[in-house]
Amino acid sequence: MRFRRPSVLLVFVASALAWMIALTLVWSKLSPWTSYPVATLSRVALQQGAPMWVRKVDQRVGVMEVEAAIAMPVPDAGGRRADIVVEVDPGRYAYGLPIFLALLLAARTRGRGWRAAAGYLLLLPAQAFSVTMFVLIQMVLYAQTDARILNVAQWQLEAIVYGYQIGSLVVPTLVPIMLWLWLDRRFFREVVVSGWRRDPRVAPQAPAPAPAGVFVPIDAPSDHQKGAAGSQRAEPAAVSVPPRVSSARPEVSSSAAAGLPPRH
Amino acid sequence: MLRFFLLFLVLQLSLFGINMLNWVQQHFVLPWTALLARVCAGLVTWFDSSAAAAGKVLWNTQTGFGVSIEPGCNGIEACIVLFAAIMAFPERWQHKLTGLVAGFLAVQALNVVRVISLFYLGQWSTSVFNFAHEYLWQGLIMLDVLVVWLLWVRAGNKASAPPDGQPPMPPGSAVAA
Repeated sequence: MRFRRPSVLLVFVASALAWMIALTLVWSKLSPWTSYPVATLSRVALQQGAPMWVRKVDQRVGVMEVEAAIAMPVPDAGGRRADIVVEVDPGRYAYGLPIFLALLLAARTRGRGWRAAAGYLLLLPAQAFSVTMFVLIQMVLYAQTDARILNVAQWQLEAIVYGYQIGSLVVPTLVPIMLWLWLDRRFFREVVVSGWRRDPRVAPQAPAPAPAGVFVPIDAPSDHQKGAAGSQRAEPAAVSVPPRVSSARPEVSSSAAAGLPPRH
Repeated sequence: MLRFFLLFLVLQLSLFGINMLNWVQQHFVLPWTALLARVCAGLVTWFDSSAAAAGKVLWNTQTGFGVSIEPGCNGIEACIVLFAAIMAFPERWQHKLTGLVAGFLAVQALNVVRVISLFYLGQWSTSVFNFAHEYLWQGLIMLDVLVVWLLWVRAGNKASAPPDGQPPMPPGSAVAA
């Protein structure tokens, strides 16, 4: 009984799936610590990008508290206003880390250590963007989307809504995948783009150029050759291949090429 | 690679912006989300008669527990990512069209599995539901998008292989370079 070896891509997908489940479980326990730099970046972004909205940012392991500088209207309270504090988990949108690591481990290319470290660092700004947009949209919602209360233009309000949607729905999962594709592009090049070369169901490899002046045996034509040569019959004899100076393919039997071991 | 990346970003951000328009939400996204809930309810009632759909909510008529299918859970954002990746990749238009249709079906099929699984996980354990909903399924859906895209790129390479077996310059070489 013969078993077909599963394709590299199939192994990659199964492996990525298993790693993703395992690593997401582990990450959910470690996230307060791994996401601490996210809060630091987000704090800097809020203080530099929206100083008119932010009075103070407190950062602890697993929690970031943002105290708004603008008093917000309280619904059904006779026009009274209140100070607000937005509390957010910095790891809320940091689940791209296990996705990235799962793809990296599943691809099994060399240099996973430095790629993992680079990926972790490069993911931080994207995660900080998502958390920052979450804080900003909370303030917009507290202000009941009133641009006058927030002292911004309407287009800026729209930009915050758009940024929040992108930051919460797309960035957390897309950025780690794009980062992996970039850092592991050799895998993409060898397994996906050139993957058909190793697939035995498709056309065989181009024959290796024969050394000039040697005898190359020509076997009976293969099916592929029959199709190409019509009803012509190949002579079952050894012929001499003359020396060639051009870079064109030498005229050897395709069956010889078919006998070559698959390239790995 | 730079061309693919920039084109992908432009398409992604544009499609996402279009998706957020009120008109698109009212005429396409919400009806699609309601249809998704009905499909999920229809599938679940094969083995669980207590499930029903009301608008975009899939709920249990006996326990009262329900899951509301919100933006990010209807598979549209994942489809947008896949569509942008397919459209930005240098390939034949016919192959792109095939990828768009097959990709849409693949993403939405897994999304139905996501909604149904969350429906039952939520009735079993809130903490497991939160973990699966907020973290795990987000990654799995995007993994699905990646796999579909990789298979689509690979299929395009196979289709463009010349009959004499000479490895051609694949369209993907622009990306891999």
